[in-house]
Amino acid sequence: MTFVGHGAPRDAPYARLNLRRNPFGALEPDERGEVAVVDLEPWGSEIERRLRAPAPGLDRLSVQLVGPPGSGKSTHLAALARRFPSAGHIAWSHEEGWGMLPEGELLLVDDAHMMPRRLLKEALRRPVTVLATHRDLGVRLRGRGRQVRVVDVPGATRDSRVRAIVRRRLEWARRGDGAVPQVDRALLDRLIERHGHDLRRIVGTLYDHLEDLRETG
Amino acid sequence: MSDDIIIELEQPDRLRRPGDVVRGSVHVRRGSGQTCRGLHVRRSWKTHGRGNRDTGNAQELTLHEGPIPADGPRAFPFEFEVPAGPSTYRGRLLNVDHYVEAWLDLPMALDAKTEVEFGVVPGEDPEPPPAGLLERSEKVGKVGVSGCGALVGIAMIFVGFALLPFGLILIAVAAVLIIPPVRRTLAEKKLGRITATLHPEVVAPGGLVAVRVAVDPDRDLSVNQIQAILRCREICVSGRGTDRTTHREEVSSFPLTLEGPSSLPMGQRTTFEGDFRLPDEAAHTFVSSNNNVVWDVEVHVDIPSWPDWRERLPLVVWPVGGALTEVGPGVVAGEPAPATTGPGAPVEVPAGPPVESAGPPSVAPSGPPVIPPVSAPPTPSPPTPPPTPPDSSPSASDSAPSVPRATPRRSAPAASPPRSSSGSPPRTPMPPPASSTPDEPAGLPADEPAGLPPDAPELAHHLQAILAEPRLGGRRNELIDELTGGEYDFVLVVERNERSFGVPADYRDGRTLRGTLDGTGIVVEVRFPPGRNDDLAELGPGDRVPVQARVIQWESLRSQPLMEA
Repeated sequence: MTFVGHGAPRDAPYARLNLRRNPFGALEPDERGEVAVVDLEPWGSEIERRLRAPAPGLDRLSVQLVGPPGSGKSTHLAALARRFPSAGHIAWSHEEGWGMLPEGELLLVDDAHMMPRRLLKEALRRPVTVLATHRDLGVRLRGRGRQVRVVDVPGATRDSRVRAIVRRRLEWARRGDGAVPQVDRALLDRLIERHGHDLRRIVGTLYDHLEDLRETG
Repeated sequence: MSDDIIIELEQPDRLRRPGDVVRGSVHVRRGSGQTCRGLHVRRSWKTHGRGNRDTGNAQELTLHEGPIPADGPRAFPFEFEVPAGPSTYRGRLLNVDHYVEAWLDLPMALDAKTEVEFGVVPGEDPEPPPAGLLERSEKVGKVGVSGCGALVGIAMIFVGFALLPFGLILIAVAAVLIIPPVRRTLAEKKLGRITATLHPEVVAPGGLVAVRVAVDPDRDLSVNQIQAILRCREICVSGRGTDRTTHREEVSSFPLTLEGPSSLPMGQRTTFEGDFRLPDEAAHTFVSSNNNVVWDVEVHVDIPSWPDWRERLPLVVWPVGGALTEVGPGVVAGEPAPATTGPGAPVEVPAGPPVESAGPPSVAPSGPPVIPPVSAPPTPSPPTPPPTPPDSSPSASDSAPSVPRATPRRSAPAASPPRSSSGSPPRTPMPPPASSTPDEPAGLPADEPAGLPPDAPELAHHLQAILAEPRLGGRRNELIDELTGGEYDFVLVVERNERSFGVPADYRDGRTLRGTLDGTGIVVEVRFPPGRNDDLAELGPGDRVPVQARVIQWESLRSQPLMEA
């Protein structure tokens, strides 16, 4: 491993692999949205319709993205934030807790299962809320007069989607023309078998594989 | 990354130093930018790897405001000054890179963005580490439970018993909280007074670090081993909220046995010392919100059939290149040559003066239209031969014979009171040099004493007496104890004049002069308070300056006194 290296493009650590960086590392929310392989339909279009032409008589809409940690809920939110740039986004932070609700007709809430009741009540006043949550909050939402759509995130994940995610990330990190490393299909099958659709674990393992590849060639 | 804009850096492969200029142009594809609100460019450092992105030192310029006309210029030059740090870093969990990013601000659409990276290496006169870096590094590197955690654990045990059988889970968690502090308390009960120190706490790559463990047991005590382990770790945090995960990677680990199985006599202070030499390519300490590179030395006293004693001593590795890191003639004799291999490959900084000169960030006037190669994606980097990264796995590093240069030493039990850096005890005449006695530990040879002229200052005679003694001799320690704390007048012939770092508050931001006592070849180092900066600023090699200073400590690694004026 090189401690202090050559940062110039030709000698950059992933240049030999024709990559800008390890594509399986942590991504910022906007980058997550960029590389997301998610199916936002049909509820994405429904959100769009609600935002474009609010119907006074219609109940406000809540979309729940339900799934265990690592299944891709936050990535769905990132893709939504990319599709709806004016949406407000709130997530619990280790340092600052929840903070204030952001502006926006559409509110994206990560870790909604941890949200204090008072804050959730305030959030549900928005015309449309999308909640990423570990458990179904449907009873509470319907009790507040919301129309509720439930998206089973891991259920929507197929093996083909995992492969597409891997390909998309490698393309996203591409440095220039030419080949980029490919993940062996058998390896990916093994990872899917071992981790199911826990994308975070799969991507974490691929991070290490790519680092090994960088170091050893 | 967008194909609408491309950044071309001048000399993209060149490694830059702080204060250099990074210059280039942003090329906008013909037909792009006609609806944009502006074209912007930013220089900053960013991390990438396992941890959440950290970024800093951003400078931003607006290269163009409003839409870019179809028949207007397509190339927009820029230049930025390279910041003081951090240096480019390549690790496994963490990379730090410097970037120039450019983006077209597009209304009601995602901005078109692109970025290029450039390498930054330490400058020739690096700034001292930021205040509090050692403490922050210690906090990041801390593993285990504080005393407060132990109290919480005790409370949890009481609650757990009240809630049995469900309270068993609480009791189990409490045990995890309580065990480490209890182990340490038990170990200290056995060891009596024990201290472990590092000197210096701030060191440059390639520099020496001395670890010293002093034990004064209340009863006769056997130990299996006393070991010090120099460690470099990457610690990164990924995710947010409930997804937050901390990743740790031990980049390198260098164990050093200070003492094997032995007995420590009751009531006698015994000191164990050893030196680590850092690799020339050692990573610099880096502490940010989510990504960290931290160094420390863990001292481990293995007590038979008893909980062991462990202490982590934080260390800052910083490109100070200062007095504490240069290995002079006083280095432990018999040591092998400095490491040339280690867990990293050195950055090859191109020789010769920088091609670009430093200057404030500015926007150069737009030149004539340039037809950039926008019809194709960015030129791919030519394939480079695979580097041969040195093996950095802990096990491999451990077996590497040249890193670190670890030389365990055991000093004789101190017969004289501990040295103090405060107060000025009355000076006593130095006895003449004495040869080592046969029962002294087999030590390293004495330093070569310098021949003194008749009018040499008193300090020179004292130092000559010390240097004539074997390096591990008890007599030498006695002489050093007598020297320490004394005040002396002398004329110093300056060899080096630099800013002080890692010093007490009174001397912070002051100068340190290193040089020889006039008329002798004996080297001393003197710190001056910042109030003397105006007098000292112009001094250079060969200048002579009268000094009145007190010896605060003996630097055994370099066989020279450290003094404060």
